[in-house]
Amino acid sequence: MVVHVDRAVTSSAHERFLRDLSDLPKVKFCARQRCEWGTWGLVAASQFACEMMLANFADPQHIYLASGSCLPIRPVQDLISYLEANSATNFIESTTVSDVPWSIGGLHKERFQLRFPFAWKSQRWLFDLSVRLQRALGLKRRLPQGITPHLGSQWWCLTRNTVSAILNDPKRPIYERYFRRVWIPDESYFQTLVRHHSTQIESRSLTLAKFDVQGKPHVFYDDHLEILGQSGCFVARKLWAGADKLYTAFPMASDTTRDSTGRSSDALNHLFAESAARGSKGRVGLYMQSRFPHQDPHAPLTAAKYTVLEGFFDLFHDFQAWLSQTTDNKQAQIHGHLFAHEAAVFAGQKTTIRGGLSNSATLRDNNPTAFLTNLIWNTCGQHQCFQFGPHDVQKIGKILPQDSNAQIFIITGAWLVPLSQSIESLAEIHAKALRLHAAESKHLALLRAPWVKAKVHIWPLSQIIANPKLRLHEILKAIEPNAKCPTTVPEINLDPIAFPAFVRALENQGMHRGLAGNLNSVKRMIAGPEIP
Amino acid sequence: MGAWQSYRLRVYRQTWRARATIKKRELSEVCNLTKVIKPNDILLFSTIRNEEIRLPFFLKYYRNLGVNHFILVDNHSSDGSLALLKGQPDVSIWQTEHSYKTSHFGVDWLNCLQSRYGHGHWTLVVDPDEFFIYPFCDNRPLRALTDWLDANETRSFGAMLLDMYPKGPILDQTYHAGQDPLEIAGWFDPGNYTIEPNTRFRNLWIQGGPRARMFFAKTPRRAPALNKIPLVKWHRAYTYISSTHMLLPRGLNVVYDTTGGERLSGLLLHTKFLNTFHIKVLEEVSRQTHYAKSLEYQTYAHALRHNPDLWCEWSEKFTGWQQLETLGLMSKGRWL
Repeated sequence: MVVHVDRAVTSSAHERFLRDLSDLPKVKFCARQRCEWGTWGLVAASQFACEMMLANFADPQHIYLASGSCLPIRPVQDLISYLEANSATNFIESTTVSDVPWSIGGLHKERFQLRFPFAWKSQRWLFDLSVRLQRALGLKRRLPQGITPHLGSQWWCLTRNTVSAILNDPKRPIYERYFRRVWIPDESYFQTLVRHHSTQIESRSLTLAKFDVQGKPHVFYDDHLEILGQSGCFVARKLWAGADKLYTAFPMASDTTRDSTGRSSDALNHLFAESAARGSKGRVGLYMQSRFPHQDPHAPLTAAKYTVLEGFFDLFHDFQAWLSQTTDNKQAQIHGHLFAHEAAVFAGQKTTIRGGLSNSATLRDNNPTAFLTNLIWNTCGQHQCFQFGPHDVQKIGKILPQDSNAQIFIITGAWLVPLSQSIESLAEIHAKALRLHAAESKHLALLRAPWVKAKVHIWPLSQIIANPKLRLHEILKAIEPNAKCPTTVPEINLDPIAFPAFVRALENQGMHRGLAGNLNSVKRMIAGPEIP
Repeated sequence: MGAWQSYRLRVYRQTWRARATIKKRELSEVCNLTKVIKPNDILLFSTIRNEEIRLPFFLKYYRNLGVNHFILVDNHSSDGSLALLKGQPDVSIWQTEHSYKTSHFGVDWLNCLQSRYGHGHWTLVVDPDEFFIYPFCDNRPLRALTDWLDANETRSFGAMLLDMYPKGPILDQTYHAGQDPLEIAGWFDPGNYTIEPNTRFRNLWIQGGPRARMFFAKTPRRAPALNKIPLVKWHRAYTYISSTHMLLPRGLNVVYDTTGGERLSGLLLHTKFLNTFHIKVLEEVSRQTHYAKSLEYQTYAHALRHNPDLWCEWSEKFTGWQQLETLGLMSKGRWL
């Protein structure tokens, strides 16, 4: 065993280390290098160690490069038997540049085409400047003849022959001169040259070492005990220094029947994938202390699809009761006017609903967007459906069209229906109608804007009266995709003769014409076939 | 960021630091064991007043988590708090009789002690009724977390205040010294928090929970802020402003992701609502020392007359960090 100690280690700590290990005759210490992340020092250190290994130990079969934070998971004897069975195989991850998905710092092929005289970690400013300068000047290096750049994990296990061939290659100075200025040579020097000197290569590392998207190595803790034990890997890295349970449990008992083909276990892969997704995409529709996305044009605002109904309460008699009966109340929750001025009308007239969301209007209006996103997040798995209209607090009207999860069904002019039954004077009704119409027009303008992402269905009053069953079926399908056509529809709150007369009277008072669509068809009132 | 605004924030930060230096005079050393602090130790800073009943469990909880040394300011306790703390090998104490209010509710005192003893350490600033919790805390000590933050070049760590409360009227159950307060106050509101970004200091302003629902439903802007950044790799140039809600330089306040991903975060389980709350409220109202001229405390005093029950049908019983992570109150982020 040859140990390389970084030159950054203080001499007192180094001496203590040597003293502590002085009773181990098989352990040798090679010349020291400064090993900064991604620099040539790491390769030079492995070269020193390999040279010493070849010079001091009688005929090793394989050489395994490991780090101080590596831990053997399976017993070393299992590894030895495995290597004996594959005595001529080089285990080194080595893939061509175009096959590798990772690129740190936006550099990919350029790792081999530019010069990198500065360290990425400690001299980032100079590093970036030199890259930009070389790009601007169009500088590109020529590769040494006969090699194709390959990349891979820096933790390899090579045969003695391969290592000595790499070290004793007459062209080694040429390669070295080139790789000294390549970025992260520890992931490319041996990985490239091994292709030049051997054909018996298994392109995988025997060390389980994973990196997150930022290129930081994953660290294992005590709670990974089980998952590491099942992984079947020989060596894992990195382990947290305080993970005492792992250090006592591993290496585990010998088991030669285990699969050693290097497919890391599904459980581990799942863990890595899940963690990466949490860090990069997060949970859509969740707003919390460590996830607060600015409006992303691609992602929806909320966590799940929901339905907004406008005008249906006005037009149909006891619409909420009908809709609750027609839908499965485990799958859908039918609220009243959530944005009513007095208080949010939750399903079942509750004062709080799931998540502890209060029906208080002041709390809601303090941040209506949060009210909506909280509601949808809290009730995930249960489709939310609520009423909205020109009577309500309008602030949320700006948000709804921007959310691709919103399915909005609106009957224009439905607010005229309750007005037509009012006992107030026509002048008072007219004033009210003007207000409601203004609110509705503003809302419709938002819903018709080109940037709308919500699914919007705008139906004039006349159209829905002509065929309520068909329209209501569309709504049911929005709530439950497999909904059947309703057998009964709620009664329509409207007098076929008095209502058109009322609308005409309002129009004669000066109201905008055509508020409720073409009301001549209202007189039919019988559900007929839909005319496209 | 404009150079002018940057300059103004710098001046503002230096004002806070200068104030902390001046306030040093108000502190008298009772028991200074800071010599035993080792370079990598994790330090806890707190201001206390009459917390004798809470201290035994508080010390036990944080020792267990991996805090190496406690640095406390005793603001004129009249109970046995000081006697209890004096015998502890890992507690350094300063005392003051000066006003909690004019020292910005202890911020000045702690800023001063942090710049003196916290430089280069991971420091945790919590109240005696706040219990820090983070993903994997049942298996991984605080050191594992700070090592990971170091490896990821993160200097500050966010932990929202999560108000915990009992089921049934607040005053009905009696808390005993040494008892885990979560045995009584084991319930919380899972999903009624609102967030607004603060562009000046770049932090998120979070409100909600049972206090907003019960006490501030009519005046939601007055509901207490719940965003906190209690764990910081301290540098003597840093300063807390306004409790542990925000820091300067303001880059430390960005403990959240704005592109859709989730950052690692924790929570402070806030066990204020025990039967001891009643005594605290009466005291604070008479001292008139808390935020917003004690308006918050007057609201509580008013509510407490009816011995309120904060519990509702949708309250969740705390079962562990996994539950809080699943609900989306905190996140594992990229930590695996």
